[in-house]
Amino acid sequence: MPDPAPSVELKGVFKRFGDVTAVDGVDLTIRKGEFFALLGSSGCGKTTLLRMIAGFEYPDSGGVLIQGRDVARVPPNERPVNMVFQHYALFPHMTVEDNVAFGLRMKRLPEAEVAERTAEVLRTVQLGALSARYPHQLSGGQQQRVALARALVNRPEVLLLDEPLAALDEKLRQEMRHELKALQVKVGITFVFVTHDQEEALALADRIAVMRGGRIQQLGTPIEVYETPTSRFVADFVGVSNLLEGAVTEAEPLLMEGKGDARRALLDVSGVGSVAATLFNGVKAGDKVTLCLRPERIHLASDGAQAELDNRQPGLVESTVFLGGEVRYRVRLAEGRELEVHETSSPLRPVRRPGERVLVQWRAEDARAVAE
Amino acid sequence: MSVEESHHRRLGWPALAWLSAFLGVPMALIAAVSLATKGPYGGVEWAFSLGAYGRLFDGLYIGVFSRSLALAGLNTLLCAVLGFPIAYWMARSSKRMQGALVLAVLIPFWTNVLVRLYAWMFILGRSGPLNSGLVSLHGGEPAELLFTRGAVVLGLVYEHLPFMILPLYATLEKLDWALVDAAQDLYATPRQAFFKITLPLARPGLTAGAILVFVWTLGDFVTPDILGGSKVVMAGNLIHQQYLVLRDWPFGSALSLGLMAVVGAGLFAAKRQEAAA
Ligand SMILES: Nc1ncnc2c1ncn2[C@@H]1O[C@H](COP(=O)(O)OP(=O)(O)OP(=O)(O)O)[C@@H](O)[C@H]1O
Ligand SMILES: [Mg+2]
Repeated sequence: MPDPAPSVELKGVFKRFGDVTAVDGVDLTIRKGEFFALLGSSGCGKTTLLRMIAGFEYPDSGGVLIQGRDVARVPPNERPVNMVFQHYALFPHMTVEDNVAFGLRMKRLPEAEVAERTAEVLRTVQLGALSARYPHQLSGGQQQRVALARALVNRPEVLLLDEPLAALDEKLRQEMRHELKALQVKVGITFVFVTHDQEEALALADRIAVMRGGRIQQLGTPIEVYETPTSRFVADFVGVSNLLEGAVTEAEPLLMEGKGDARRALLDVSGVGSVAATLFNGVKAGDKVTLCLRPERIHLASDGAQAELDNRQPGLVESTVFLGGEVRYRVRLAEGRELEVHETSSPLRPVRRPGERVLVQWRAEDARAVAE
Repeated sequence: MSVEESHHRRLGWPALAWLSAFLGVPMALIAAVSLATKGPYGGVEWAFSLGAYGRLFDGLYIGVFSRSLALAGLNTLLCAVLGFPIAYWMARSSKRMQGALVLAVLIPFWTNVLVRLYAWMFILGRSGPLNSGLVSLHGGEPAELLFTRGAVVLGLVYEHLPFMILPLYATLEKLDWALVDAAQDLYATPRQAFFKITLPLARPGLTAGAILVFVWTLGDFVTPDILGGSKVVMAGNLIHQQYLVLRDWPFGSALSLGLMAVVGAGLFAAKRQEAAA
């Protein structure tokens, strides 16, 4: 069977507002049935990109295709996509039921079918009992579900979600995350999800596009984006990283399966010394690089213990924060550089006290160098 | 009674005092005068009589009242139809622009209404700029623009439009435009989005504006006087005439209370309907 047409394709899309370039040349293919996240900090153009897919903004140049059809100049009411707005935008003068039925009524479906589909989707989001209420009589989480139901009832080709969880409190957000994921699997509709919360993107998405300044910095699965950031920005934005500046002293190809153009290299890192690391994307000997070191990939051993990993440095524990499941340390290396280190807590592993001398070590595969 | 309630009650005293001094007392006076008898040279003789109320039902006065109501209704409708697009456009302008536009709506109030109406008299007059323009374009005699019903309607709309625009703007300015986006996202055409979302949500402003314009128009006597000559007599003119020209205070007072009763009944009915909707 041939692959179905992608749900959304963006081809060289540009959008300016006055002298602000909100979207600066984006190429993107979103597959059918995919849970896709657009991740980036405030003002990077996520909402603008979403609004161009919805049809609220037209691109200055470039193509927007939905199911293979060019819709760059088609108004929102004629596109097979629906949106969940950041603050839900529920119609305050209509009941939950009328809110949800709005799209079907605009499509002039027979009233019997409208009633049936509305009731069904309200059951799916567990709001059946509240259908006669007005939006202001609902909690934040319930409003959020109405917004989802109002969009899903139309069975769109693509569901667009603009920071749908941002307005909820932390506990509810965690809960809704699970619900949202389960819902997407159940309905099988393509979700395009905007967020500035990297944890949310990692938890929910099949693929993530990390955006910066109107461009896509990196595109990949959560594991790819987390494990193999291709730029200092992505390493810093997704998860926590120790970022260290250095230069490549020597590099050799790393013959490992499935590692692409990865190479083993020796770096000279200021404040640390010589470090064995893995290099990506065409960095050569002599180049300046940033070394990204995830805190949970650094291991502490007692001073004087047998070293096991590629890189080892003596260090001094500066501070210790015990968080129950995890212990967070700040450790100063001999040459002055401080590192953030996270260890899973375990009765088999001692909690190091501030002032304790330790051996800091990590694997070359876990030390990733990217061009600056 | 909770602490907060008692607090509110105490804070309510100045308002109550103000209302009794400047609304309650004059109203009581008018009511008293309406039940008295006209003196031979004007003024009031304190002899009880319902005669003034009897005269209210004279066909002449009922005619004036109903024509006033119709004119006020027409004016309200015109102000709504003209004011809505203006208020809408204001609300969708940039924040900086909005300040300037509100100011522009308010600027006419810096000048006394008489001065503004005399300016219209000049504009509409036989040798005014409008007529000279028309004559030089089409030739012929200057048209009779002034002292017509049309001139009065024009003046009423001109004078009361801001009272429609401002409450409408205040409502639209607070409207969440994402709601309109949402409607269009849910397959509504721009026109459907307007009638299903924008208009219903603008209703409080529209109602407030309509009440202001309607009530103010009913009480207006200057505009019909100046732009209508003596041809257009409205309820306001009638009352004005009774008090200041004919010096029949009891009848003037009865007319005032009658007008108030009509307006009050109208507002009550509107409120009932609003609550039912
Ligand atoms: N209608 C508009 N008029 C002018 N500038 C705009 C408009 N919409 C967006 N912008 C600008 O375009 C840039 C991108 O905005 P956008 O709303 O897409 O960012 P975002 O990534 O969604 O940010 P946030 O996380 O804060 O929502 C910003 O600099 C913003 O100021
Ligand atoms: Mg946004």
